[in-house]
Amino acid sequence: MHIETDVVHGGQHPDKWTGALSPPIYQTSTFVFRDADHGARLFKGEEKGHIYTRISNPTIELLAKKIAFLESTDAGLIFASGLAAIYNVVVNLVDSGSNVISDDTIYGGTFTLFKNVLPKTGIKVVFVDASDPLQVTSAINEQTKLIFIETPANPTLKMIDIAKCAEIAQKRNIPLCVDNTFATPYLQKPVELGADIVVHSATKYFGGHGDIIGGVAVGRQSFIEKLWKDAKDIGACISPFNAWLILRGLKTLAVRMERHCANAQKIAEFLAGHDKVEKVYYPGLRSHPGYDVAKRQMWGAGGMIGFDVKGGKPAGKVLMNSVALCTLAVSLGDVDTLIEHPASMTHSGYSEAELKETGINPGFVRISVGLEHVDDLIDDLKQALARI
Amino acid sequence: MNEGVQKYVEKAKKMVAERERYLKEQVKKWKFDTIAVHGAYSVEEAINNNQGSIIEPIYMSTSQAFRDSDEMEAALAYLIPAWTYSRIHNPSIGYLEDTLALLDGYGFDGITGCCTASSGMSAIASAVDPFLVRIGSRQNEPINFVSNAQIYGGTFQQFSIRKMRERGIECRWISDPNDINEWASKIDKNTRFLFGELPSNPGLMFFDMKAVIDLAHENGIPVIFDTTIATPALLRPITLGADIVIHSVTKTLTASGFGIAGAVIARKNIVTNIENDEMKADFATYIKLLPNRDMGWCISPMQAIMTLNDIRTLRSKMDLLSRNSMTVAEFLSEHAKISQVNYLGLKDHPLHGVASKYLWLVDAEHDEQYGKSVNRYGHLMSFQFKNGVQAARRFFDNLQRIWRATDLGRIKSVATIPSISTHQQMGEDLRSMASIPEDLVRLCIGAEHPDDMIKDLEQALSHI
Repeated sequence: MHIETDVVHGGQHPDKWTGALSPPIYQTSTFVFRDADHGARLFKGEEKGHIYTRISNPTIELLAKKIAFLESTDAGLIFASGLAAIYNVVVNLVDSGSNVISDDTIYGGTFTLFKNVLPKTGIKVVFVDASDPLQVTSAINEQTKLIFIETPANPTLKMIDIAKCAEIAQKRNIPLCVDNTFATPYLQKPVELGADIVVHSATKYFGGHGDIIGGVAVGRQSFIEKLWKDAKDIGACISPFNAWLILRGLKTLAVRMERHCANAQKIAEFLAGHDKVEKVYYPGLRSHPGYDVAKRQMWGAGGMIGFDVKGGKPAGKVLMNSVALCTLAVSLGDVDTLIEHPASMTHSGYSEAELKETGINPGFVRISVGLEHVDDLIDDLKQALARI
Repeated sequence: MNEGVQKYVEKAKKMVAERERYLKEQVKKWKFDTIAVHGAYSVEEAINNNQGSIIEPIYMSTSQAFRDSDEMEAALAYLIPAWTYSRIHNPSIGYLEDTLALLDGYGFDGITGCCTASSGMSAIASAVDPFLVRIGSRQNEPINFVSNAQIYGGTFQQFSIRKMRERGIECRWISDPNDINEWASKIDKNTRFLFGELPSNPGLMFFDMKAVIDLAHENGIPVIFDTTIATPALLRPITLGADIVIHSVTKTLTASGFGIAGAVIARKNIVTNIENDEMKADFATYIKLLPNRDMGWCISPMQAIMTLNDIRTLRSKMDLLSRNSMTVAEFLSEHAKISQVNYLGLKDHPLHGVASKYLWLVDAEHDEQYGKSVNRYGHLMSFQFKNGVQAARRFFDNLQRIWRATDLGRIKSVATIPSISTHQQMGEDLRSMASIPEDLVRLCIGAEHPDDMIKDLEQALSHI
């Protein structure tokens, strides 16, 4: 089947109990047992069934099945957020004293989790530039239990060759986990390229409408079962209502992604030709260092663009204060176009030197291109850039 | 009927019989609170139909899928209980309807049914329109119905404009509903039903319901009561012999304020002079499956479950809200700047006696806090000012914690000036007929501590 069909039907059937075409929202904390033995069998895992929504829930389970199906793998678990998904995967696979090798360009929240939180549990994170396979190979040691990459990476759209990383990981029998939030299975299926685990912030393109927080981890049945054993005790569960909204969002993933990509390509080309723009980071432009990798492993370049405006931080700030249609906000993957200037917004506390250290140029701006008409977005950027 | 359809019908018969047995042998024997918490959602219903979920799932789905054409035929012909399409029915909506029917039927030996609607106003239309038909031998006769004049402004509008002016159906207004002779004098052979709202919003009209019910039935017509303000925790007209009850479910039944909804509750075998046996036998099911299906004013399944959640604590909530209101009403009645307080719980209210005959906190005699029957009067009151409309506005504008909003029945205290809001559309003449003076403030006390509400009222009054 095509992905357009899969997002609508995949992993989903009319509710077997009542025939409801759209799945019911099981907004319940707990489930009744037929009798004491039934309860005992459920707890021992001798019979399948639901006990308590932190442990499992029909609406949430349906979402996990659907995303696993879309990512061409066996099974999945849904979490309270993308970070909760990543945290659960890492602590499940990596014990105290062992290490994770992670690419150095990852979402800021993931970076903070890896740099500040995981070391407290004795888990070491070794940062490398995974776009250079040699760096990954040479970082691996006996204690390496997981390789983690995000591609395209937030915020510079750095591309990493998933197949190459998978080859290295498989040789050493180390699982490879890919954060596929930016691409979604509409553009890229890491499991088909050799990855073992795929994680998502479902808050972004999966939900698509900016109304929920959620996270996903999918992989082989045996791994997900192992992950579930810890996850039910860690308790980073999602609300059934949020799971239902993600199920609803997924149905239009294909049509949304198609438009996100088309709009972003045009905006990236417009920005690349603008005299107030220093540099554009978009995998759909030939000038992007990851252009060839993107062509190989993605079916489109996605809806995220980064660019440096000339004039650094003050220029970036003027741009932020001049856009009228683009919304100043963090998060991404929404139907609305969201724009963010790290130097004056999320990273405004950083000195110039500190910004440099994190690899964020003072004039760097990130756009999550929405579903508005692209001409209106370009007009807005045009008038805002003119004020710099 | 082919063999396949027959099979589904047989299976459904068993299911329906089992459900009726459960309702009769178990649910109808429970106390009010137990019914409010569980309704008809049994352990079997959870395990067999809902994966064991202890909370009724939100069936946020437009349609039901069928196994085969036989099941579809049986469902669409209403031969088996099915839901088909959420404009017609839906499992979540069904759970709410079960609970509402059982609560208004609490203390009534017979069977009650419920049909929800998208709002209280559509519930009223659902309840009255089936009686205002021109069918059979009554094709060309004039149509009228009788209603007390002191009713909610929206209802007044629906009756006076939509029915009277636009459809030529006469609404005969009763100015003193405690005068049974006035009711009797308005009834003739063309009268289709009697309608009463009590306690009324905002004037707190109350009357001897039993006399009106008897009068209607002597004339072969039904009585429809809107008891939104009382809720079934204080008043259940069907137990007194009434035929149909309507609620704006938006109000105290959904005290959290999570949306708009309405409901019609009817007993089986209503009294009517309309030639329609189906309607007479089971009014709620009739309007649900036929007129309401065609009118389309259905409720959302999400709304149904949110309301259901609110209803689970209805009795204790109505008790608390009533007690808080009593405290506040007593404070206001002693305040120098207030000319008059209308609250049915105040002993000097002219209708206190008749209201006390009917408004009882359900199951107070089984509540260890009381151990005997206890009157409760709800949380609606209204009052006027010695210095008239200017004072009313000044007071209103200075409220700090009590919300200024056209709302009532909330867990939060809310005040409004009906003459410029809820009853503005009536115009001055009709307002005076419905006893809604310009300086009347309507207040609905919530679950806050009454001391804090009194402080807010006190400071607002100090600005006059």
